[in-house]
Amino acid sequence: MIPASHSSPADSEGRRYSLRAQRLAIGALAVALSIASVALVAASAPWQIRFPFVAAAAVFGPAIPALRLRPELSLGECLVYGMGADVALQMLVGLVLVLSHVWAPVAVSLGLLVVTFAVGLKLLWDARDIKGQVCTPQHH
Amino acid sequence: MLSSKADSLRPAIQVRSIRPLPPFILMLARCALPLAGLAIGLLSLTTARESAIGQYGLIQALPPLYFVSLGIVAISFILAWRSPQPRFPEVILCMISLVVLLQGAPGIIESEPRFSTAWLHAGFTDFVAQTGRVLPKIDARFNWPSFFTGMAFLGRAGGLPNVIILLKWWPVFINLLYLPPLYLLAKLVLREEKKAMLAIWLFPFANWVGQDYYSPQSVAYLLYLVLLCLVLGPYGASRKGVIGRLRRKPEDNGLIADNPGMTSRYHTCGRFAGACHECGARYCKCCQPIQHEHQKKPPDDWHPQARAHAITLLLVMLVLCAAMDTGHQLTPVFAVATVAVLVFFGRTRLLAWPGVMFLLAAAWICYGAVAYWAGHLTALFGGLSTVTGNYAGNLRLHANAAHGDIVHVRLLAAGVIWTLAAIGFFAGRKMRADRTAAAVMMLTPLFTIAGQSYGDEAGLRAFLFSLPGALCLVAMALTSVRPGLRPILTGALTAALIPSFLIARWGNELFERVLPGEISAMNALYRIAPPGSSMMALTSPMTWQFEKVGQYQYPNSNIEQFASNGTPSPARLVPGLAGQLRKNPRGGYLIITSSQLEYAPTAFAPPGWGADVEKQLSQSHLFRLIYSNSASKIYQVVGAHDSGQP
Repeated sequence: MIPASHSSPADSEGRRYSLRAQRLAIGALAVALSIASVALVAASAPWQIRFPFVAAAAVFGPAIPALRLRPELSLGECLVYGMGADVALQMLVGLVLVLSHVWAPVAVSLGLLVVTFAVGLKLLWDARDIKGQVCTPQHH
Repeated sequence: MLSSKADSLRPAIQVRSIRPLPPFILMLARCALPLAGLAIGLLSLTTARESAIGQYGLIQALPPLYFVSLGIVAISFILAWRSPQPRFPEVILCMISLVVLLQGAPGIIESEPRFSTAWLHAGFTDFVAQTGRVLPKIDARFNWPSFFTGMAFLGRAGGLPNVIILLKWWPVFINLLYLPPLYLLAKLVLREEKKAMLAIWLFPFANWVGQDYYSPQSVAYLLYLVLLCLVLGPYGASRKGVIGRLRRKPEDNGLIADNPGMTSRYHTCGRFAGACHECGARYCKCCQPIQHEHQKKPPDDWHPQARAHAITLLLVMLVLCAAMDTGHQLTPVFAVATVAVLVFFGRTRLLAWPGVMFLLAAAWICYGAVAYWAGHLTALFGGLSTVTGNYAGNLRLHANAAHGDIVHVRLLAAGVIWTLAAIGFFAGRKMRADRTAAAVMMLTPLFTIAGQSYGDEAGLRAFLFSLPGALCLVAMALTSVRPGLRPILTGALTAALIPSFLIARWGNELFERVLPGEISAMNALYRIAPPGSSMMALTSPMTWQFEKVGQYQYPNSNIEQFASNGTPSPARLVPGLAGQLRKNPRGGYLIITSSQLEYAPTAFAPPGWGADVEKQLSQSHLFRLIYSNSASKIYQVVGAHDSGQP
């Protein structure tokens, strides 16, 4: 049998604001990182400035903001699964480029950054109205 | 009398009148302790001398203040951990400080990034970045290239001139990335934040295996941890194991639905079900309550959001497994075995996932790794017939006394962890923790090495992969005692693990470090040697192939294999090496470095063997010295066509 939820209205209110804050923070970070990275790549900035931003954007997006779109996951789960998926995605995208003999890493990474930017925007947009989406599985 | 009473009361009144600090200021004050430890440790490391590294490795070069800083960080962690409410900012700062101090020490003390294999991997990455190709016939690692392609992709996008820049701080970076999935995994298994904190606190000390350098396995291990989080988290279960289910009564559906200690955050009805925290009702407004009751629900009912959620997570798992299978040859073996045994014991609902993982790995081997296994099937499966040899190979002790001590410390550290884990398994009987999942994660990797020796390294890898489960059990052992004793036991274990880590992890630094002279020698050789010529190292620790990958041949001197029949005498060895190098008409070069001469006595040779070889080389007239510096000597074989001149 599925046990009843013991959450009070105050709890659910807190959760809603927490999810909204998380979406705002993660969305804003995704947008900021992707814009900064695209700008630095486009400007061919020195690697000392460019690489930290691009690497941070690669570890952060697009999976972390995409997973934060799902309300079922806790923040910790979202960050861990998202980080793992992003690292794996970088490896696989590189592999596909090599195997398909289309080695255009800068162009494709710009594409990934644009995806991160779009997902970040969607997250910010969704954060406007969070009501009705909080359907978090119950903690045991 | 009265006045003395008044005096004794005055301080108490004064104490009461002091206003407590605001919580934020208090938190900042507490966070200052680990930060102070980190600052002291980093400052002390800048005063350490590289030349002081000795037979026992880096520990001989570490200043006393470094140990004080580790002590401050440890005290800070124990204070934060023993408080009734978990103090996350402090714990996070302690973990960061600990990882930076433990893993970053060689990066500060040594002038070049350590470990020759890391340089080799950097060379492979740069080759992919420059050419967009891999060379599967040059090296087996190119048959599992997704780490190199991923890093090349990232490096080119970030404008890196070469990835050697990343080598020094890679262990710090990757160990910091391990901590969040480890914490999540420990929380899923132990079901308590404080116990999970204890498990991850012990991880940096227990991870002395040294697979966290710039390498495919370092990233594959991260993916493995995230995969286990998914398997035991959203897809976790607390079903009966396969044997239990075979024995079940007809009316028993095999589920323990109301078990408060079940692994999953989700219900065990077999579907993703949500309980709405907004409406406070038992079930979500989007669905009718009847739909969530597994006895009543129609067979094809899926929560519309839950289905998308399940598909999203399965996609994440698929991406993780695909990257792991194409990135490293050994990690998928551990992953498939562990997930399969977790399925067997009913700890996950992903009954078919081990099959999917196996098919993915097999598909890549059949498609992408043909160049490796074609003609090497004995190397792959030959270990199955020598199970005891696979274990024995990992336990060899060397003749050199100092190196023997280091190996003993390693065995002792592993033994302590395993013993405490065994105690934790029995002591955690009455805890809410999932002992079975922890034991499966610990024991499965250890049994997996029965099938492959992996160059006598499989034991080390198995220990590394057993750590998540083992440390959860250790945390159970440490928290099974009275609350007052827990900080004392944790402190004692930490105090014991600090020196053991420093010896076990950095004990081989005398030959695992890379000297600037070795790099300049190889740079010189790459300028001198014509493309296609042969380069040979006297013994294995050799820093090369960090550039011009695929342009030269690197035949193996095979000295360590011959050494199993006794140390090769220099008089017989030198003509043999010359004969091998002369086979290449473009010329051949023999490189001898300080690291090799330090390594040989720890592996197979008596002291002074290197000097004898050098003497024989100069007297034999088969080689001539073309380059020399404080750390390296390069000899050119005489007799082959030598177009390159110094």
